Amino acid sequence: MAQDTNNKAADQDERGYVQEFLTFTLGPEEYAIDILKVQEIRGYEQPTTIANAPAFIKGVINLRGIIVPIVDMRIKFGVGEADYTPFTVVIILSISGRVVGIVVDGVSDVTSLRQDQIRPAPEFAASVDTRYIKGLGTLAERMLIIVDIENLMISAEMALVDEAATT
Amino acid sequence: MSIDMSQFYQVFFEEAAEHLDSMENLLLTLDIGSPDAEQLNAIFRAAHSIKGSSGTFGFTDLADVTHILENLLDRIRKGEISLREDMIDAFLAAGDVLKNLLASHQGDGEADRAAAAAICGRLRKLTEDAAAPAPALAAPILVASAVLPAPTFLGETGLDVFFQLDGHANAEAAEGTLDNLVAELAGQGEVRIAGRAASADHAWHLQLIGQPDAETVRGILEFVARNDSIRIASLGEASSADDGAYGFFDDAPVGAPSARTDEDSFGFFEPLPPVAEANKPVDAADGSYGFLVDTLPKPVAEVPAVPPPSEPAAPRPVENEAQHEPRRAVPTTKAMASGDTSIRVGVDKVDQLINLVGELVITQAMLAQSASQVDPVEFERLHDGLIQLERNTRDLQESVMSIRMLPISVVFSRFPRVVRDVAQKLGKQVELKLSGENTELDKGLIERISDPLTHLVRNSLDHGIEAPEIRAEKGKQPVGTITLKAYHQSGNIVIEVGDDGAGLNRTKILAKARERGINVHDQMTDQEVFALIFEAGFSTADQITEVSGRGVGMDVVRRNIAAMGGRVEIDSMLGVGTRMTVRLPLTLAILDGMSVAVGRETYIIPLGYVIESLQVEPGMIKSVSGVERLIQVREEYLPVVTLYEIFRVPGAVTKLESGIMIILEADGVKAALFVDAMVGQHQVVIKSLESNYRRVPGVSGATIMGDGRVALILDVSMLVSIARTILPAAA
Repeated sequence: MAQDTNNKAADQDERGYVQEFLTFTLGPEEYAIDILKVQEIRGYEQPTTIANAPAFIKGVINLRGIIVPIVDMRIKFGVGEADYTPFTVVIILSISGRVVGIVVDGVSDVTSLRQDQIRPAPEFAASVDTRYIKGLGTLAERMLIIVDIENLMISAEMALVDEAATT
Repeated sequence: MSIDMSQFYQVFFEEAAEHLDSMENLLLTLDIGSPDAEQLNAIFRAAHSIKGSSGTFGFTDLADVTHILENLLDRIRKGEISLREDMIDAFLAAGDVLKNLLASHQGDGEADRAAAAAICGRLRKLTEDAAAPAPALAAPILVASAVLPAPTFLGETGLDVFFQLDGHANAEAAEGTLDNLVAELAGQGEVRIAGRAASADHAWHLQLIGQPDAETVRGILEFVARNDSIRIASLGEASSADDGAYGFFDDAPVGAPSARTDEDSFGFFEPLPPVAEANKPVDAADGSYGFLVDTLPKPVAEVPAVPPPSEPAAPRPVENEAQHEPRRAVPTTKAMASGDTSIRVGVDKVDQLINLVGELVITQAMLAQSASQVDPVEFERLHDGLIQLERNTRDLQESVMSIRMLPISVVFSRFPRVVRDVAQKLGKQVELKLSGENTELDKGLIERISDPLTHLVRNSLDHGIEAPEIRAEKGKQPVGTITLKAYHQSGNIVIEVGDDGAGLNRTKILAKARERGINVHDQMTDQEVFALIFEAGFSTADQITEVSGRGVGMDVVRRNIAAMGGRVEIDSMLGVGTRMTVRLPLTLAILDGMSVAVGRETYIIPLGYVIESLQVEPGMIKSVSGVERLIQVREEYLPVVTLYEIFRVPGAVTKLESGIMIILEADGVKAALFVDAMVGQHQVVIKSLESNYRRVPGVSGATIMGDGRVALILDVSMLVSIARTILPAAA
């Protein structure tokens, strides 16, 4: 029994720890986030706008009695067209006790990635700080941009959390 | 199998805290000169309950302190030791030690063992000191006289007469006197000997049947009985009072060597036997306080340790005790009733319930909105049902909200102690008057209002009330008065902290403000000037005292109250006094609001801030330096706050004549809020925007409207202050 577990652990070390990701598209790009942060996926509805909020914060919606802010990732990442069709999807995330919705063009699937399939992201200039890109996943011909969604969402850059709460 | 006691700890902690609080309150109201027996008993009961349960739960440190406390209290309430001021101090200190121990058991801070030991020593010393000069009194008191309620029959009229014979040490002589007395009394009616006294120190009980005249009877008795021992009551009254309180049965054999219970049966409807000494805890009592032990038919003979009636006992007029009995019985029954009819429920459960009801209200509103679009004739039953649903939901909401409501006495009760301590420290004489303690408000508010209120009270004590000499000079009573008052006013709860002290000095405040570089002018209203004392670091106290004067705190008070959706106002008259008025919303969860439309957005304005709404006519709009920033409403010029500009709402009405002006007042400042249109008036459930988002300037929260959409609730104070800051810039 003990032997077994050891073997298994060794096995995992060799091939890398397997993690599941939810992949979604923003324009032509494919992104992946930790599936454990996802609460649910729902269609887009017009939120109530919040005064003087940055453009990527679309407003707040009523999610079964909870007020949930909605962030449009396409605007934030500067990818694709920020149009709202019946196929526009909102991924509701549950991050450190907070509920936040992100608008994406579409949800692809749930993918398992081993550590050895994830390459570190090189330093490059992008509309989003590369600190929040955990790495780049390779899946056949596709490249998945793995986002550290938790730290991104609570970052000061997203303006979702009060300054006092982040420090 | 042992029971895991820890699951009951929380209940014990809460109970013990309650007992400590009530003990403290009682101690503070106690009249040192002539303490009320009922209060003494209540204090004793509280101490005893804590001792009993802490023993049960194995908190020996608590039990040890309470044991000594209880001993001393017991002897005071029995009149063996007279109450002194220093004892009250010691008791209060003991209460503090107990609170500390209790907190440490709850994992909150370190137990101060040294303080516990010190207070034990102090209490022991008090016990010894007081006992020493009167060793005779220290002996256990046994009221073992054969006073027993005699059989009384329904419909009989007459008098119950209790007395002690004068100067007859020996029983035979007493019998002789009594025979003569009976003969005398026979003229007044039929005489029955209901209870015989075993010795001269014990009371006789006669019943006179018929229509005797109480005064004549007293006159006859005065020849033979000790005047102070005579008690005459209507037949049946005295005995039924005894019965009610102690469960004595009427048909006890007359003259049987039984005993009166001592006061140790607090709280039980159990004919607890004459406990030889309160110091020796009765098992039943320790384990079962608060329960109704129905052992009424228990034969007296079974009770162990019934002292022989002949045992010499300290003189103690039965009369005194008997007089208090009916009164004592009242609180005991009340306490038991409340114990039976309340349950302890976690706040989270109540909050969940409130949330669910909030959801229900929203769903109901959604249904009503959808139903309003169908033909009311065709769907009459649907409409009726919905109207019923609306009523029921509203009732349900009210009932659920009332669960969270607590009387403000929970907060007020701490002030007698605060005032006493602070006044003592400052060498001032202060009387605290409370009123409206039963005013209810939300539990969440209760917890948060307590600190700001304490601060206001301390402030009044320190800066308001003058020292006794100064008061005398000014021709005031040397004892100052602080009034704490709570009441409801138009959907708000109002708490006033008043004092009859020096009052605020307008010129001094203005001078101080100038000194600190605050922008002030002489035309400011009193309200505005007094509000300056809430500025950070503002203190006009000449001397910094231990209590206050460093200028920290008042700004915190205002901030805390504002955070609760409330505000503070000050009225003051120099030399007469100051009154600080705190206005709070009744609850944090529901708000009466007016919904307004700006562009495609809907906003909610808390109704409490709205004074009026009006449509402006071209002549009312006054421009300052080319910008239309003021409107003239009757005699006043009000700054205009254009919501669409502040919130950058696209597609809103921009011409002031085409929209609606809503006149708001916050923090004593008025402003006109310009919106497109008024939509309606709603009761809205407040949802936090901050739980998932951050604070938005100008927005205090969010709510969900009937159609399921989110509407933002405006932060009126903020908007009005925006008007104030923009105005000078524009001008």
